[in-house]
Amino acid sequence: MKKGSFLATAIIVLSSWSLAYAQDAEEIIRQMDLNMRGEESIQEMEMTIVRPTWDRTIAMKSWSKGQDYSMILITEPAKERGQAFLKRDKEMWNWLPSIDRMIKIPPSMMMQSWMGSDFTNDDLVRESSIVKDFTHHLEGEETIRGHEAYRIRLDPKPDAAVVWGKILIWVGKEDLLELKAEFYDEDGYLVNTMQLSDIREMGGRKLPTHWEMIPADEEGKKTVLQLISADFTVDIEESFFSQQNLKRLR
Amino acid sequence: MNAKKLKWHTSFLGVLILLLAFTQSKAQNDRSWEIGGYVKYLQTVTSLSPDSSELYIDNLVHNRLNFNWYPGKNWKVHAGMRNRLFYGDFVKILPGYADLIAEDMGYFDLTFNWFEGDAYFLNTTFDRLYVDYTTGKWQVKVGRQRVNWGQNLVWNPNDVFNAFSYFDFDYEERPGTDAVRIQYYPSFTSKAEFVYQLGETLEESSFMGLYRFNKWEYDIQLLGGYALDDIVAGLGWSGHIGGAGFRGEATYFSIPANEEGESRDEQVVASISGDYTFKNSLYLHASAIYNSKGDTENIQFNYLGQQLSLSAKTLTPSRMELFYQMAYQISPLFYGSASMIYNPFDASFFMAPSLSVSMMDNLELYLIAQIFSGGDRSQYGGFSNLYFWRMRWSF
Repeated sequence: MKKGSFLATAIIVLSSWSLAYAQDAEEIIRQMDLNMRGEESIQEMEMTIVRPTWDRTIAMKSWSKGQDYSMILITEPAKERGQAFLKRDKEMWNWLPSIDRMIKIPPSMMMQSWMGSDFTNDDLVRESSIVKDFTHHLEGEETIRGHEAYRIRLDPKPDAAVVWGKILIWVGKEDLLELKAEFYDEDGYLVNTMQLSDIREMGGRKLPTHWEMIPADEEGKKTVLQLISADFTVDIEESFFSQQNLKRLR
Repeated sequence: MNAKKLKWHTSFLGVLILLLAFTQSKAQNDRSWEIGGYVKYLQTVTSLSPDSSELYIDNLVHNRLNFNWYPGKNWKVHAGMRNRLFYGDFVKILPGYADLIAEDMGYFDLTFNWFEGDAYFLNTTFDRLYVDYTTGKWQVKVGRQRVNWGQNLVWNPNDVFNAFSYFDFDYEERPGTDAVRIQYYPSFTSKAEFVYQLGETLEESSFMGLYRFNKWEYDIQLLGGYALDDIVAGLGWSGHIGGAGFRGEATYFSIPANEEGESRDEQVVASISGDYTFKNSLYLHASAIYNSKGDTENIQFNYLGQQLSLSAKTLTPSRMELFYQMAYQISPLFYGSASMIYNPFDASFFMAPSLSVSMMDNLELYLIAQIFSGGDRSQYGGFSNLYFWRMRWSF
């Protein structure tokens, strides 16, 4: 018994040591990105736009495979129900079943806020990659809501199509999960803070299930993303992400 | 001709009862049934002349039911039902208004008035009623459906089946066509389709094909065939230049010039558009339409006629028109837009400022004005302004 727990402690100590020193900041972010996202997944979530005097909720279901393929189906509110989005590589389409119309979304629309929330289309389909489009520096270690965490600075690569001037990400040491992120504009001002909490086992994976995006200097405003269900064990073929299937999602 | 059309009115009552019965099942999240829709109340205020303070008030209570049934993995049955109660001044003063609305433009007669009075009538129409079957890369859809081939957002010369009027903002779903439609998807981002539009005579039928593919980050489509006695060929695309959307459509029609179709006439209708969304959500959109058969003077514009019998050939009565739009998400609750259609020949224009307000999760208020301005015998001159407000509850 004693021997076992000693061994466990040793493994944790060794692995955290190796993470801190043998792995560089890029490796931590890469691992975190894998942990947060999963290679393939089906998820159901609810997004609530919270303002001091009102709130609005949007519910959706998403399918994704790696960075390049994803589909989102809006399930609430009723007015938007059935609308769906397909992303393949750099291209994105919007299916409007009520008028039988497939609209190709131009790149400028990707950066638009997602149905008036504090998230952009890009945040949801992740056009830009926190691994490939940035250089990474380990700046230090801090405690976030009781979890020990690495603080890593991300600077966009010169040719990357990224809207941010800088991103700070806090990665939990224990599980290598994202706990907090700060997004800065090109002039160095804080724009949004993301808080990720309620770490739980869901769909074969441990991850934060409650995300809050809080705009800087705007009292009482935030957008909350709540994960309702998730399955990371699914095997989705690339061929699933087709215009034909986009019309059949439900 | 109407008498020959199938009269299904009694069966509609059955469908109506079914629809209402299954309203309950939605709450239980029964996977093989879905029902949704909305109730809208629209009020129109018209001033017939700027000098007169007399206002005409019209009201429309509008219920839509969308109904999906999935009898098997590959099967889907869809019905879209529109119930509208009209009452107000125009119902009173426009002769034959109720009969006009009761007329079904399709092959099947799926439209009827329940009752009519001096200043009111209740109309029901099914603008969607189809069976959809998918197997592998094939999809077959039979019945009343919307066949939407448009690429642009305002004028769609490629939309040979269900052309829609920009002025008819209250009909978001747009009309359907009675057709047999076979679609085949050779790849993830391409499709080929064939549509047979049912008609009682050859002149009232259409046989059209379309092939759409994705190349150089563009969706490109080619279409052609026989539509309502015309020989039709078209090209359309959607892509981008930098971050801006760039779309276009052109359709060529060979039209029989006399009854025997001995000599033929030609017409080309084309449109092009660009739009851009700024980081702060400001949206700019511009478009132009060209009609080789359009007039450059004494242009006749018919507001109601344009909405009721529109085709890809009659999208504009003018040789050319220009469209501009600016829209802005003022806050998550408020969305403002201002659009304008301008005739470059007579300098007359149409303007539509609008504001939509989210009152609650499923309740929306919409305000829009339709302003017409221009000189004598110009396209938009001498037309009265219309002011609308609308509440929409979606479920």
